[in-house]
Amino acid sequence: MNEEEKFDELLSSKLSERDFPFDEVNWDEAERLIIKQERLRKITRFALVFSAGIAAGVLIMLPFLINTNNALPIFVSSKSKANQNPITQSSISPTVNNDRVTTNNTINQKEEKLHEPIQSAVVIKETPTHIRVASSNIFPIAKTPNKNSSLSVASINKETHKLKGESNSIASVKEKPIYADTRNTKEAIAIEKATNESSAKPAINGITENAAPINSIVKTENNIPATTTAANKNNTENTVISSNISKVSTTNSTLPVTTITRPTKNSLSDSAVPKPQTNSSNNIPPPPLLPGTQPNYTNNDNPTSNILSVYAGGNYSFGWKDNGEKEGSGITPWAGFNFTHYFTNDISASLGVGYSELNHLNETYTSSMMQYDFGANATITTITPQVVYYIAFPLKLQYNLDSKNMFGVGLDYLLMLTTSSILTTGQQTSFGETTGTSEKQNGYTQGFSNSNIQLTLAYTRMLTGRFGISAEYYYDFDYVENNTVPGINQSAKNSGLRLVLSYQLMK
Amino acid sequence: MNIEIDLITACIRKERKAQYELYKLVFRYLMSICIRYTHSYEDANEALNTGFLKILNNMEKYRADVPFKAWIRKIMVNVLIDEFRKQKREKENLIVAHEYAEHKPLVEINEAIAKMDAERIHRLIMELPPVSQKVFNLFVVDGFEHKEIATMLGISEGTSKWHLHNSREQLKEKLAKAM
Repeated sequence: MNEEEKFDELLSSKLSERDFPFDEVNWDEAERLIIKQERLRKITRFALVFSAGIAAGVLIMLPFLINTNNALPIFVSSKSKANQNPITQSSISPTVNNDRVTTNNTINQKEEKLHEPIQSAVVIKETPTHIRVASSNIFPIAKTPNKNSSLSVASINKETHKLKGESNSIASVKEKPIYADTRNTKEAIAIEKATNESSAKPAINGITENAAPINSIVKTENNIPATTTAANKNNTENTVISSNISKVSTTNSTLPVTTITRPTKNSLSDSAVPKPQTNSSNNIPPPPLLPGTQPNYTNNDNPTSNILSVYAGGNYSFGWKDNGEKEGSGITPWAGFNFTHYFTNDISASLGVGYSELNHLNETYTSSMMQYDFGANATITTITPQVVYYIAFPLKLQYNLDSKNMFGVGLDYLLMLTTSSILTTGQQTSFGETTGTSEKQNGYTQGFSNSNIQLTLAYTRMLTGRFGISAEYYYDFDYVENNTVPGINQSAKNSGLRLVLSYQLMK
Repeated sequence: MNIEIDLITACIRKERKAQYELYKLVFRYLMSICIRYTHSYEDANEALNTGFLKILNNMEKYRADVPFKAWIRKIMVNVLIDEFRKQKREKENLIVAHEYAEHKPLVEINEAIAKMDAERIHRLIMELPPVSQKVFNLFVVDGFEHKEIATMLGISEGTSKWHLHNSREQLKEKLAKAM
């Protein structure tokens, strides 16, 4: 060793002479850091699972959202088409199912145009309720009489007459009232009732009737002209058709059109549905409903009877205490598919298949093998399971408070797939020397229950038509760790909270 | 410092009691490393805790065929160097040409070192320029090669050698003055 090396050696040995006694305060600081890091990891993991669930839901939902947005222009184009091509007899064809013909009109006796043909009719394709309601706002003309609109109708009717060979004989044209929008089954029954009670053919010429509050809806026949009604000059001053039907008879050359507006909600009760008020000598009964134009009166609010959903979320396991140490506590994923069947509007049941896991396990299984060769030599194998993987079959019975809020109670059957464990193998000699290796291995399922059943209580809220979120509490009926020592597994029951996002794939 | 494999296993399972036991066992050793790379006991303590956290996080990667002491030293030194590199920025990369004063024969200096207390020697080393000080610690005390030191500090191997030479010469000067 030369002087240079000696110099280094001396300095090194001198530096290592210094002593730093252990201080509890240092450990407190270190422990604070460890706890902080553990919390951060939990939050990060939960955030990742939650974000993944949301991202998956959004990705799945995106194409459906785009399709939903495309639904509106169907109505708009239908309306604009109707405006561009005013209604004629032939245009009201029952061959187009579910089409509705609504005539918006207002009668103002001050106006001479009462004798003119009625205002324009608009063909509205069947659209969801909210869109139909909106349509009344789109056509304010129905509430405010408009000279121009009347004129335009006149031109429509002129056109119609041209098509009919300029026939002035209205009687030669079969008169049928135009069918207007219906809202529910009660209305339909009322219509049928009204239809059956009247058998006489409606008189047309010269009839002038007062606006009658009939609130009824009459159906059109194929290729039948709309009934034209006129308000009585003497009686119908300032009468506006709103929730009423008025029959206006054209004096000479216009085709009859029944003007109908949407009935108000209050007027739709069974008993409150009056018959169409007609001229005493010429009752104009509503015609019978025609086959092929039978409207669909099914309640759209009814939930779909079968639904296939995909769900993803996370569990926060409370864990259990094992020898004073917390075990099994942490955040785990929960994802899969669910099939829901509605027995009634209120009661539904669901069955699913999914994936779950349980982590943060502490239980260690140790085996040692002694060999005697120049002293005792022990081979110690320690298996520390860390994660247990399950396939889950959630079964749930749900009570639907309304279309958006549901309460559920159910059972989750968990079947263990495998575990992930750290396997540490070490050699210990009688001289205290320790060597060994540690590695991660799957498949050490010893000590765990093969299956488990959880009781779940859930609240589900539908965020959109297909996208829902549910919060659940679950409690294990069985022990997670299947220890054979009596009493030791008493506390190894898990419970926790679950947050799940679901998306209805098929209805 | 004799670390049982059971203690390591318990630390992998994140048992707090085992973590405390390990901290107690490694504290002196890790502190002796940290104090050489930092300016104060507080800084050293902070670096030690950061290093210990890293040791715990990487405990699963530990292979028992490697001495535990060497493994934790490597982690600790890496933490200290990382910290140094964060603080260093550009100011320490300059190599300032230095005219070394003539000093006494090395034999005399070595004799003087043997008589000095550890604290005084530590203070003399702390007076060295930061990079030279780090290279000296890494090479002389912790036993790293110039290649490793160059990688760790982001300098060339030749620069590392120069820093070692520089630190030795400066220490000799300081020791000669202190004699």
